[in-house]
Amino acid sequence: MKVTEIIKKSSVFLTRRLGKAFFVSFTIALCLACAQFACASEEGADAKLDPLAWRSDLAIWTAVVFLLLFVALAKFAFGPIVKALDQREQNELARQAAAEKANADAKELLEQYRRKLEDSEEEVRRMLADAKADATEQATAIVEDAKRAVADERERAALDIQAATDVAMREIAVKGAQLATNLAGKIIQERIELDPEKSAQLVEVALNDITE
Amino acid sequence: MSGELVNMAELSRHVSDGSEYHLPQFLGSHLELPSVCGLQLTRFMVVELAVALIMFLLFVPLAWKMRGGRPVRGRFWNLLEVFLLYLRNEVIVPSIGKKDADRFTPYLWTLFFFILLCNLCGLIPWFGASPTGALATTAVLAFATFVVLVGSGMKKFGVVGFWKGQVPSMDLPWALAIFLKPMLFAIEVVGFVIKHVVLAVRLLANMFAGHLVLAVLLGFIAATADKLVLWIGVTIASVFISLALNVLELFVAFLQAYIFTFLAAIFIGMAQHQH
Repeated sequence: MKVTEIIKKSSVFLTRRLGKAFFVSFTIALCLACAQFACASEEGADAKLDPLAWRSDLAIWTAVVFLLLFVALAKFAFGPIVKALDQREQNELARQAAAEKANADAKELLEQYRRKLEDSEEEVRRMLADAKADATEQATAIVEDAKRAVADERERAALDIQAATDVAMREIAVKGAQLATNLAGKIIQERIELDPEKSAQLVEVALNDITE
Repeated sequence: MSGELVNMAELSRHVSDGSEYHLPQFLGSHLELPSVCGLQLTRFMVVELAVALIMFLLFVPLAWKMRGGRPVRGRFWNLLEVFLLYLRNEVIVPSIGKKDADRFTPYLWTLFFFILLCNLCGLIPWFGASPTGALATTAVLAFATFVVLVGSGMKKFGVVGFWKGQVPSMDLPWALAIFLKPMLFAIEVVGFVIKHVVLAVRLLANMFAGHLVLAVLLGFIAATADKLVLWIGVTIASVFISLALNVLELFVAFLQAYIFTFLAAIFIGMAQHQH
């Protein structure tokens, strides 16, 4: 193993093991250095107007306050806030992804509805056309039936008229014959009563006609 | 006022740290701070403690309101969250990188708000001057940044790897490399330290100078008190200029907190991504 690799591995090992302890040791070193300054310095809190005057008590105080403040805030405030911000970012990304998915789903659904609507319109058009065709066919059939019925009725009426005419003619003929017979009977009776010879002649003619 | 227009010793009591609080005259002139276990409390210490308490009382409830990633409600909490989000998204993540940023975010947030509130406390009358106007405070904050930077760098690259990485990789002949690389290493390490010293001094100088100028301007009023006509003119001018400078100081308080945090984030980012 090369010397550089050994140094590298040992330094990584030390920094991992002593990573957190490093900050603490530096802080302690700072406090010790400040304390030494404080012992060496006779300046108290009432320093003169010298911006570069070193105040060890204030330095130690500041280091302690700042370190405690940092630890407390990192534990109870800023650490949780960083996590909350990360979580908020994740939530926002998840919400954005969900919104995009919902948008895509809605568009797809809209497309489906549009297709369904188009299909429905096509279906309605087809049904209307079919209905119109059926109606036309039915109307034609009804008209034909009506025409046929009218023709039949007319034919039947003509037959009925003919039959009625025939019956009427027969009745007229019968009535006429009866009237003629009655009239002839009356005339003959009057003639016979007036001229018996001529009456006998008429009977003979009539008998001859019947025999023929 | 013997020999000088403004009594600097008197001014220093208002600008620098001290073990007493200056109260309005109708409440008595001074309030002496006690000693705790042999440590004399000072105004800056009280301010720092108050700042720490305020931060704890602000951000722990905010964390509670944000748990589970819920959005916060209310203008004040949203304002706080805006600060946090801006620093995280516009300063920390671009400087350090998204992968490593969250590890350093709590530290940099603490740093920013600690400096900001310390700066702002200096603008509150009778609350005491700003602790960031003292070298001890800014040096500790810069040193803390140095510790975080070196510690995290060494944790990532190893002790040797981190310090070795301070020298830019160059394909030099070994004869040249023997001389040049140690020199470059020394320059980089010195630069490393200087950057943090400058970090401390920049904040200190800005805050101290602002408060000093304000104190001097108001000191003119006392300095001319024995000449009535001059006193009236100086008082009016001093009050108006001080008001304008206070507004400027308000801006500087935010700006310096931002600059310190921004540079700290860049330095940490440089340590996380070597040459």
